[in-house]
Amino acid sequence: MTLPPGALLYALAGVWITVIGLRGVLAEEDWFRKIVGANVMGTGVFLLLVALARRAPDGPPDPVPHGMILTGLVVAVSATALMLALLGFLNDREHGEDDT
Amino acid sequence: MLYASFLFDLILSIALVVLGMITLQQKTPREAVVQLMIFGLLVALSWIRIDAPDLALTEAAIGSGVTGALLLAALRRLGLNQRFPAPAPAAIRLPVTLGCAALGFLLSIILIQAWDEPAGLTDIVYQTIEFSGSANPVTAVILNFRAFDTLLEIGVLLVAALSVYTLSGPAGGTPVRPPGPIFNLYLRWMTPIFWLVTLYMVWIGGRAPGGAFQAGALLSGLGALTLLGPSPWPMRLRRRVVRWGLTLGFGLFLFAAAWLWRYGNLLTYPQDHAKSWILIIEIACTLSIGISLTVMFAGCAGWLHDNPEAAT
Repeated sequence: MTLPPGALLYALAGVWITVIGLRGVLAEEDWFRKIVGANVMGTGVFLLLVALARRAPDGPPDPVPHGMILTGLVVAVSATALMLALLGFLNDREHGEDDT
Repeated sequence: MLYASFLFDLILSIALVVLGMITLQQKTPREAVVQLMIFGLLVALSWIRIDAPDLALTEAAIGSGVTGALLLAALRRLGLNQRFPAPAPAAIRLPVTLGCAALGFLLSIILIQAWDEPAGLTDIVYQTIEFSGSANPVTAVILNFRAFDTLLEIGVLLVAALSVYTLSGPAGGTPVRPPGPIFNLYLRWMTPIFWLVTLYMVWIGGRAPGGAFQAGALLSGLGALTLLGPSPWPMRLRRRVVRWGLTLGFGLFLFAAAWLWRYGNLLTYPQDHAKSWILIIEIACTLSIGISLTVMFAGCAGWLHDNPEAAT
């Protein structure tokens, strides 16, 4: 019996983490939980891409997905910051309306 | 030995899926953030297993560290300490869950079937790397072969940082407790070390794992520490540093693109000087990434703009 390669296991994990995160974004009511869900989803996509870069069992991994993930990580964290700033803006406005 | 490594991969990949699920089922926001950070660290561990140690470091620093700091700072500013509200009704949750499960099965089947198909650009990258001005394949891809994409990604970072800067209001709630003498001493000792490691990371990125994105992440760690520290910068200097720092990377990158356009194509470096072009762009981008992430942290914590009530 041949064992499946480790990278395939992580790729499958990446698929299911993405799906779980997507469910969190779509099905949760709370905005903060949606933001956490978006982060889980993004991490799942990155895990899938890193695993796909390791498809050939020998030799170096594919540097193109690695480059995409490296830049993607920074873009993902800035997207999270933007979501949080928008959430803070919403929060402030709601509280402002309560005062008047 | 083969079985042992297979077993490790199997357990870790199952644990990752379970952890992702647990993260979204925590009762309070704070628990969810802590769980997300643990999840990020374990993902970083799995990336070491599939030959991406430099990405694992970046994930541990940015995906777990900076994201966690942002979320915790935002929690404090928003005053979200209570439990999450009641979940959506089952009429919404059930179809969404079923649809997501179907998508997961579909993607898994495609992945298993297409796994052995030869694809990828590894060979092309390694054939042309000697002309790229960088011996590190990832740096060659980011700053030479796909430099146009990276230019736009730095642009996205600038837009996001400016949006956070514009949107974030002053902090509410209790003021931050001033740090103790141990923290101040730590900050004073660590500041030059952070700068040294950052510059080393940019330099080494030319031939080994490292580069602007890892170095920028490190610099943002120093930025967040400085914000927590005892001596806030004078307001005028801070504004100047923020304005120039945010635009430096994108501005220089854009200037390089426009300059090189005169000789033919956008961002096709002259072959003899490719290494210098890459290094200069990388240093500018490192500073911009570090300052952008620091501005985002300050914005989420509510420290970017002075509280008008506190100023009087």
